[in-house]
Amino acid sequence: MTTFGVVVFPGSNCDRDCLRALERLGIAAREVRHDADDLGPLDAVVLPGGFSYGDYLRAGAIARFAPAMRAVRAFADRGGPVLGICNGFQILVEAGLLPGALLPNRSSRFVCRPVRLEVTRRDSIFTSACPPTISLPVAHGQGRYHADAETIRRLEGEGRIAFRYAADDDPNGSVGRIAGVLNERGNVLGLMPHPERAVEEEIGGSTDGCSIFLSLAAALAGAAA
Amino acid sequence: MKYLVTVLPRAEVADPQGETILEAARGLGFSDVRSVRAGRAFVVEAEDESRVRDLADRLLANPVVESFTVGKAP
Repeated sequence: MTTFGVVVFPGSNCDRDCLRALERLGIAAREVRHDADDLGPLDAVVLPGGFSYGDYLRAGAIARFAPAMRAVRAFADRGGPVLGICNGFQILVEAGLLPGALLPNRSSRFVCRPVRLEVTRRDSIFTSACPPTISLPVAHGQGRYHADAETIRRLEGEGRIAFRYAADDDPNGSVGRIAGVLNERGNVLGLMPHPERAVEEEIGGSTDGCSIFLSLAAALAGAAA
Repeated sequence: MKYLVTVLPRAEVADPQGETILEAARGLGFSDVRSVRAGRAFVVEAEDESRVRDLADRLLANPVVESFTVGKAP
């Protein structure tokens, strides 16, 4: 049975929402502790949002060295899908599993609101079920994506920018309005917005988050077939 | 031996924290202060400076967006 693992670091706070979102979508999921050397049998890994290690030193800078992250890197190197959400994206860039860095928002404000995203890469395992634009909530003070010009050129040339904030809806001043980035192989995605907060009709707002989890589940089901 | 590591955003990176501090400084009457860049300082007690530089490069600074200096702590 396809199983997702959600890694929980000290200070992670979106792990339960991730588990709940997956459960709602009929996807088996379990927690993985930050100090686990071994992920156990998993088909996908989620690094959830929050403030791992209090964002001390730099957001994600300490979590990247957690024992579980060694296992996550090995999993990613074998082609395993890894989805980093918000703090999870910060951990992935600090770990070098994705290029660039995430800096404090240009406005110096913590931004907490729905944003419209252009899905700029629609054939990845994470986005195949996504419509061309989606709405997801952001909640971050440090979401400004930064990379040098050469890296940006390479990302654009290789189609590795998965999401951009709509031109009139940029919450943080990211270069190129980049909201989510893929690795070279296409099995690791980091994004600042929260898909796990957009899966339940009852709380109102968007349910576009479903499309990301369902894309990945479908890709895994397809691969297993 | 105690070493002082200072970490600052690279020149090409916008620094809204520094800008906010500059505005506050101007509000206090420091109209002559032209710019402020905000960073972090660490006092690291270790055997030798090259180890501290390694630590700075691997952990204390993010080389993608920050640069650092290492010297003897005052």
